[in-house]
Amino acid sequence: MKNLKYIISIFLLTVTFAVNAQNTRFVTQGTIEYEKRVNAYALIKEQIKIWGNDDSFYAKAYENYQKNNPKFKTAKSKLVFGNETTAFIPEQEAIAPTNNWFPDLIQFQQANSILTNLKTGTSATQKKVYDETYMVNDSTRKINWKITDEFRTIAGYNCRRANALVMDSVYVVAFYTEEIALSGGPESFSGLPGMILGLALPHEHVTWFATSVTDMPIGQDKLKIPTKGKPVSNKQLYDILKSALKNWGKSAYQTFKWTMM
Amino acid sequence: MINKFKNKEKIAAYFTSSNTGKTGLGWDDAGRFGAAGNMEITDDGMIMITGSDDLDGGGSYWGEGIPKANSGGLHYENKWNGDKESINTNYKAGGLNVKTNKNTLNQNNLPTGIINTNSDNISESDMFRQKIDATYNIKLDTSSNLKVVVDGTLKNTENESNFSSTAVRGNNSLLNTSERSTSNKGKQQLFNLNALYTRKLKKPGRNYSLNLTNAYSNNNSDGLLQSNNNFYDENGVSTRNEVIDQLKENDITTNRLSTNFTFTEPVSKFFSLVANYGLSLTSNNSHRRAFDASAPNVYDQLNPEFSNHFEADQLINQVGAVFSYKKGKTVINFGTKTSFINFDQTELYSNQKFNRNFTNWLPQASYQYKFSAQKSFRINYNGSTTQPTVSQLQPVRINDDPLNIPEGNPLLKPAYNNRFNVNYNTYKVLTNQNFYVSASASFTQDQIVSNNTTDSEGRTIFKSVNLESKIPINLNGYLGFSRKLNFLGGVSAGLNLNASASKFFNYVNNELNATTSLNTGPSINFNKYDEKGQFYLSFGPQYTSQEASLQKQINNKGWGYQGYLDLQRKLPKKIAINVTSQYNYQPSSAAFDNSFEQLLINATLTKAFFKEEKFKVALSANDILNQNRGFRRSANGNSIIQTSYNNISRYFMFSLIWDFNKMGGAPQTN
Repeated sequence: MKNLKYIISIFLLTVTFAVNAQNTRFVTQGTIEYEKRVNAYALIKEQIKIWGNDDSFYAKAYENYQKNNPKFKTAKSKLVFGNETTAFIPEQEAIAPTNNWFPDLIQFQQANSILTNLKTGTSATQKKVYDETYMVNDSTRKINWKITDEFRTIAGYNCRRANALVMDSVYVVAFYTEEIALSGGPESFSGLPGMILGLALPHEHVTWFATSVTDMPIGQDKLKIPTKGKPVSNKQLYDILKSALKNWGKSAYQTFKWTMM
Repeated sequence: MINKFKNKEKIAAYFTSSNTGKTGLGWDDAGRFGAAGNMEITDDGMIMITGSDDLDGGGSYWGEGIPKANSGGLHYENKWNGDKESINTNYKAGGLNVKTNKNTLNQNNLPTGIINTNSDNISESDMFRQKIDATYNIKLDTSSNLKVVVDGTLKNTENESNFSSTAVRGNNSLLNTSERSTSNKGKQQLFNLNALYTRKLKKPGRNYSLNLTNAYSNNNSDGLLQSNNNFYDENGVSTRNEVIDQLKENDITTNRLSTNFTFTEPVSKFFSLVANYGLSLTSNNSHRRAFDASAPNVYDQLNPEFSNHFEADQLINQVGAVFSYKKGKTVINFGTKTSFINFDQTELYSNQKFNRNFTNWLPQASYQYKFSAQKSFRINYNGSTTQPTVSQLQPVRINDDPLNIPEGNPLLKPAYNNRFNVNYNTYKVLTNQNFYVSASASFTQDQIVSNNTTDSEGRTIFKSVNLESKIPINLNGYLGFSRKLNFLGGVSAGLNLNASASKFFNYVNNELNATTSLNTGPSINFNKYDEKGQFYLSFGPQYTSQEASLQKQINNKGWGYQGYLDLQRKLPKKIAINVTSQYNYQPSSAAFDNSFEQLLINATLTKAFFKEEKFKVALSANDILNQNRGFRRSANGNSIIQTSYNNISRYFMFSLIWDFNKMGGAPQTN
């Protein structure tokens, strides 16, 4: 019975999307506001296991976190796009975190400002790695997307689902819309035949969803990011991290994955 | 240790027995036992450990003497009603016996010369204690919570102590001798109840809490005091002999009832207020009686001089308001708490009344700037009033030590302390580079200091007075830098510098004495942590100087050395080795004519079995070089004191450790 209901509702949704998709105007420049949501409870629970400290101390710290913080930690960012270029810029938090136990988790942070040239397939990324700032100039990540026949609406746009595996192990679900005719997206995810408005890393407990899309002309002066930082390539950053995280044990893997993402 | 888990129900029991200074369960074991209920983490991430237990983690054994401890406990916890209600209850019983042998050298600096006292104390104490506690937590709805904690303790103690001392003048002529033996038996009952109700209101950040506490304690003891004191003149001729033979009976009951209401209001997005009001009422009834003997072992003559019966009531009203401002990287806090205290006391034998009112201030202010998660600057100020204690105002006449007699001063007024703290730290994660600098300063106005009057027979009368003409200062500074060195294979090396200086005052025979002390020294350290093990090594010299203005030539100055090593290594075949070592050297000085040197080495070899390493065999050796001697030097007012005592030295231990999650055996010690 439950399954049947599910199938019916998906069917209905699909029909609605199909109807919506009829009268579209293609957007080529504008601004997208994203909201990043991290399931902090699930993430911390998992993190405690990785640290191998499944004892009463962390249990208490976790309980305390639950008492004082909501289940989802949110952060805002925006993507400015136009002229075959996208600029992804995260927003600073209004109040710096005070609880000293979990807020510094790398998954909570928004470390990247990314300027992507879709024509040449190159990206410039200002990347904050703890106290260091790097400027990574390299080709845009190639992602082998598998497009599915699942649809949903995000911020009023009809989106289609695509799945992929990046960095050998991270499962990614993206919802892109062909109504925005740029192959862009939040963070370092792009390469679909349209703009990514929804992105989920289900096993990492993190999602990005567009909350609004503004269709407006964008001047070249808006398409830029801060350029301060030590210039490196992806390979060089990889080597720096590898030597720095050598003695970190199991917890190095998370840091490594999120820094390179 | 036996554990049983079933869904959310958990039952555990343990028993330990040791003569190695381990009393009850340590931190790790207590956590596995499920009884770490005394740890709280505050909203800003600080860890608070409250109500640590007599019998746990070292307990009431502080490293002096040879201890024997037995303890056991039962633990039960359960959650039900969709985790909305939970109970956590413990029963613990334990005994501790400590035999101590202690020698103290005391140099008392007087305007007229010095007195050197050499005393020996042989004592044995026995304690048996039972405690039961229960914590009940209920989530009344999504926004309110009630927590009730009750505990009760029964404690029996027995102490026996033999004390003998000889005091000589600066010219080595005999001043006095004292022989004293005391025996005491005591019974203590404690009961505590605490209820905390918290409620979050609709507006985010707006909440209130109400806390009610009742604490009751009754302490009943009786004991014999027998002492014999002889006083001598400059030529070594006995001038006087004082003999005390008394039975003491004490009955002290304290009952405190208090309540506190706290309200948090977010004034704006970045600005919030925490306001509180508290009311507390304490009543205290202390009845102390001393009996002289009319015939040997017949103690039936009430001694009016050393008997008293006080009834005291204390009423405290506290109001407080603390504002906090958080925006971006800035955090500012400021506010104060103020207590109005009304103290009312009657002595029933003499019908003397004693009333005092105090107002205590507790202002605070702090500014913090967080450049990033790894870099911050903080400066803060705390002020506090120190109220004179009842015994400083009007001490109970006690003749337990006929050579040291306390005396009250009803004119005492509260002292006021100012403390400033600055610190800055920055950490570079990728290069593992750390820099830390902190400094603190404190000043006290009208400090309550001792005014000790030592008479020509070597007896000292202790009295407290306000220091009005001078302001004592205490300064502390610390600086540390460390970073990972790739050419040393990833070992981190660090350099630390610490310094502390203080000037404090007291009166000796009504003359002002200033004690200046300085402690400073650099140290270097090396450490490395990885999955195969870790090591930490530090070493450095330390300069110590202590000087009393009344006796400048007899000071305690010199360079000492300290070192520390901790090495842990995992070897193949589940074998692990752990070595710790400590080195300490203190030089001789004008005040102490012998130097002190000690090197302690402890080692443990562990072999684990099975996949999850639940079964372990450990062989450990404590103090391999057999050099552990209890030793301590300190300066206190116009006295410089060196204490040595017996403690646990070399021993070898073989242990089998078997961890079972469902049911299992107990750790064995030998």
